[in-house]
Amino acid sequence: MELKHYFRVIQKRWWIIAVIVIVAMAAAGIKSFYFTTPVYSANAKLIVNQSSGDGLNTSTIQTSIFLINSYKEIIKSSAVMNKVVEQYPELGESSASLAAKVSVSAANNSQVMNLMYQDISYEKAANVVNAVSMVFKEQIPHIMNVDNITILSEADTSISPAPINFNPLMNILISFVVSFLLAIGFVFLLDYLDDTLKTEEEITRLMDVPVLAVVGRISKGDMKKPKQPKAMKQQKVGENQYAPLNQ
Amino acid sequence: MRRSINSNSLVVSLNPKSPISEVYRLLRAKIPFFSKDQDLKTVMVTSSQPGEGKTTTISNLAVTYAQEGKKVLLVDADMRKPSLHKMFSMINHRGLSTLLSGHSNIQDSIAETDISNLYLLPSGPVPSNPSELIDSPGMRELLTQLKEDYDVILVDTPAMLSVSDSTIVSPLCDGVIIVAAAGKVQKHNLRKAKEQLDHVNARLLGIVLNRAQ
Repeated sequence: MELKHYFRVIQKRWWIIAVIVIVAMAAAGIKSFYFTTPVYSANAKLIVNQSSGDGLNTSTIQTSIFLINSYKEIIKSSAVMNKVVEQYPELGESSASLAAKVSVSAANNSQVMNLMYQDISYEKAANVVNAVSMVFKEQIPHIMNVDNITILSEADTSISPAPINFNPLMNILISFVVSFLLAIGFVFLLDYLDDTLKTEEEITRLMDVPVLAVVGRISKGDMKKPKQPKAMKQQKVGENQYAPLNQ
Repeated sequence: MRRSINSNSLVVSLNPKSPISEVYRLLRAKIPFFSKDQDLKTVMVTSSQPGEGKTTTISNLAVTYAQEGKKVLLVDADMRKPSLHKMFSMINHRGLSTLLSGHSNIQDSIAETDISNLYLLPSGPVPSNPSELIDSPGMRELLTQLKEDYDVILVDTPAMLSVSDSTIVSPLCDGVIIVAAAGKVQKHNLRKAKEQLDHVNARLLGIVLNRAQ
């Protein structure tokens, strides 16, 4: 199969591709605008810094970085989460669900820890990360015998940010690309499954019988009677004007 | 019994200079080349499936023969869903069915069309036993008799894979043309139709590819 054939297949069934793409894009748009529950994300930043009279040095920074991996686990432990549930019952979450929903991350070779919580209410998400940060800061001296956590930034409950899952333009763009590829695949599948004969060559090859004629579709233009030229139409027999002969 | 032409598909009559009309004239010119020194007086036109354009093809082919000055008879042997009479806006009270069942004679059954040299034997009223009438000795006798009066006899038959009528008529004719609609006719159906013709020793002249893009 040559490239020309591929183009012919697409050209023949372009409307199928168009319909699939339009339907997919419309569905993506409708889902984005009407059926997507907005999810909000709240962040709080904590810094791990060894309290030392000598100030900062490479050794203390390195120790803080190593501690972060332990702290990531401690935050999600029941020792911290049970205290959060105990101190903040208004959050309405169990320690297990909090542990599952709170995510902790830290950039490589950084002393900063990032706490993130997602919820359909931004206010609740902000309250949860702030509560976890506070309880964690309070509990670390008891757990690790070292007070080295500082809350760098809390989640601001007064702002109303945009939902993290609301990006209709991106959704529509993705649906366009995916549906276009699927539609082209579907069109080629239809062509592959098409068992009909379309050309003179196919018939000759298959049947070993001559093709006597190839008749195109009869169009409206074919059915119109040919018009006579204007000059012929107006002129009637014996209507020619002749100059009289002077004899 | 003259009637006006139904302008739906008789392109050769309405617009003789159109490219489609030229194709039908080319078809008429090509047919004698496949005769192999045998006189092609009766030609049957069929298809593998219904709706491929048999009637349109046979009507236009008949007009080209008539325009050439040949005395042409169109026979509508599709006694299940007859349509040739509609093509020429004719009534279908008498025809092949009444002729074969002995309820009418040739003179009463054959109608003159609006095109000079072109005559039509309609199917007649739809009988209860079309295959039996087609398979009767009367059909062979009728074709033999008609050959004496007409230069060309074109027989329109039902689709081959739908009913057996075409297979019965095909050996009685000098040649068979299959009309195949491009993008509609399936490979296995066309092959089956050819096998059926081979089975009864009918002479397949060739295929007309219809509705090509």
